[in-house]
Amino acid sequence: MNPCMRSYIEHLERDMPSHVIRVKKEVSAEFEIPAILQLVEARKKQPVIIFEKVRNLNGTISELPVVINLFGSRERLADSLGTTVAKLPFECLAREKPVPPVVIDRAKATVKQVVQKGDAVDLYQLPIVSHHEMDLGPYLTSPSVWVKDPETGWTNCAILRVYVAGPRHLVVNFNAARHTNYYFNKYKALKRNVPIILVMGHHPAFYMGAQTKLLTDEPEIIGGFMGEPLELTASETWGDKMLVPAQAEIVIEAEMSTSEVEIEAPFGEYTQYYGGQRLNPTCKVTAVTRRKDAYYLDIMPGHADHLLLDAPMIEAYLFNRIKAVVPGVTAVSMPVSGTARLHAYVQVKKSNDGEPKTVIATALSSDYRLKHVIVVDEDVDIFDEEQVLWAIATRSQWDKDIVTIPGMMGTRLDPSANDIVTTKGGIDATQPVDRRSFPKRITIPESVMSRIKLEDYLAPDVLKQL
Amino acid sequence: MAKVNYVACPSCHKEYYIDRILSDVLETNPNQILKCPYCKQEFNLGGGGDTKSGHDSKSGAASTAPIMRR
Repeated sequence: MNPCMRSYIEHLERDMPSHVIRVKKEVSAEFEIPAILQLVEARKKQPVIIFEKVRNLNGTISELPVVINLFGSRERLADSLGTTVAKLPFECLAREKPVPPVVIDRAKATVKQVVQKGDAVDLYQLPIVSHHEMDLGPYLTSPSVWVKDPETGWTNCAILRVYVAGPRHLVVNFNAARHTNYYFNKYKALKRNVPIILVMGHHPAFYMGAQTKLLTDEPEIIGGFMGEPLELTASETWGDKMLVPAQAEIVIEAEMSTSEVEIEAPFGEYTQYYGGQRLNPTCKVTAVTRRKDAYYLDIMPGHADHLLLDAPMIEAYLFNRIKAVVPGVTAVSMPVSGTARLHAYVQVKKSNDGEPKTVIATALSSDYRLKHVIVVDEDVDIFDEEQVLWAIATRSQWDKDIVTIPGMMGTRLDPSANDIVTTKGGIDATQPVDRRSFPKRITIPESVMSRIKLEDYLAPDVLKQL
Repeated sequence: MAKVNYVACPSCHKEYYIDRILSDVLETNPNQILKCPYCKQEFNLGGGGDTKSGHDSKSGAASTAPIMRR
């Protein structure tokens, strides 16, 4: 059986217990779960939080616990792929290869333990979370939305936000420039509704595989990330013509209209501002299937839980683009402080003084959302923002190390931009190649650092306080 | 800085931001149903009937407030 979200949480509770918190006291799905997460984050911690007793939209206690912040830690994402934080982007690249799925009998599919169809469906039974004050209402934030190309049969997977407008009524938001819309327009030309599958809750490797940006049959790429064929089974609504992940926590099946649109948003975007109200396609839910003891997965919009999930893949793509012109690039980091989209820190072992600005120009033209690039030397840890800011403080001069490029294409979600047109830039915070012209950084002898262990000098109770 | 478009809810009188495409739709179809994120009431800017084409339609309250640009 495929690894699943349940098996991953069991692993965390067994092997990484500081990464999981369980809340047994009753909470409301309306704002209280996000409030508790935000207060935990304020303590500079990013555990998975499991809320065991959550009041749902019907005003009763839901059968399903809510899991939030599953993806809020690079350490956990790396662990889920069996690698380290520094190697995570490269591990993503290595796994981005097709492994065809397998179809299994529904009797072996845990997602079929509870089946609701037609009028028996009531999404309000689920503990659907309202996140931010001005959001239009409760939103599904974790669904990997599957849409099948009516021509090729390929399935696209994209994590989309979905407004819950009624007990069997959804409104789905997707980007006009992305693959979901590409397939949507094919159905529109055929004058057919779009069959969609919303997959909620699976192993983190599933989600990272589902977030790659390839135009292919993406369940095959999910198999690559999971390291084994993804198990699929027939849907309730379309049978073998539309398959669903067999070991997901919850699957929602729906028909998306290609002619009817409805109001959706405001909603808290990744930039941590509200996006404006807009029109999006309506969907009628046809079935909900789930595990008997399913977890309800929520992804907290605009927080690390949301921002980090596809950051390693973006970093990997960016690394490859830079590597093609500056072979000395050693690492790329997209920090949460830049919403994991707008800032990139690039570490290089440079061979000439023109390389940092070449890195900046290459990176800025490789991802339309990326706005600021800071280039540092190989002695600066790009996953430690204090070190990056130290490099800017001591290794850059604003009259010669700053690059500014006005009039580039950016993201409309950046409120400082002029619609889609933005000014991008970068900072060369590297030392000159000729290190003799630059002071030497302070260090403690490596022979001493390697033999000193704090536990040899500090009592356990003192060590625990640190 | 980008220019942004706002509408005011006729029920609670609070203003909120709408996207550029919806703003263009409202120019030609002021009866398009909107929903206030604060008080959750549905309304339209034209005072006409409901033009929402989806299910669960309700008649919208009328507003005389125009789209505001800042």
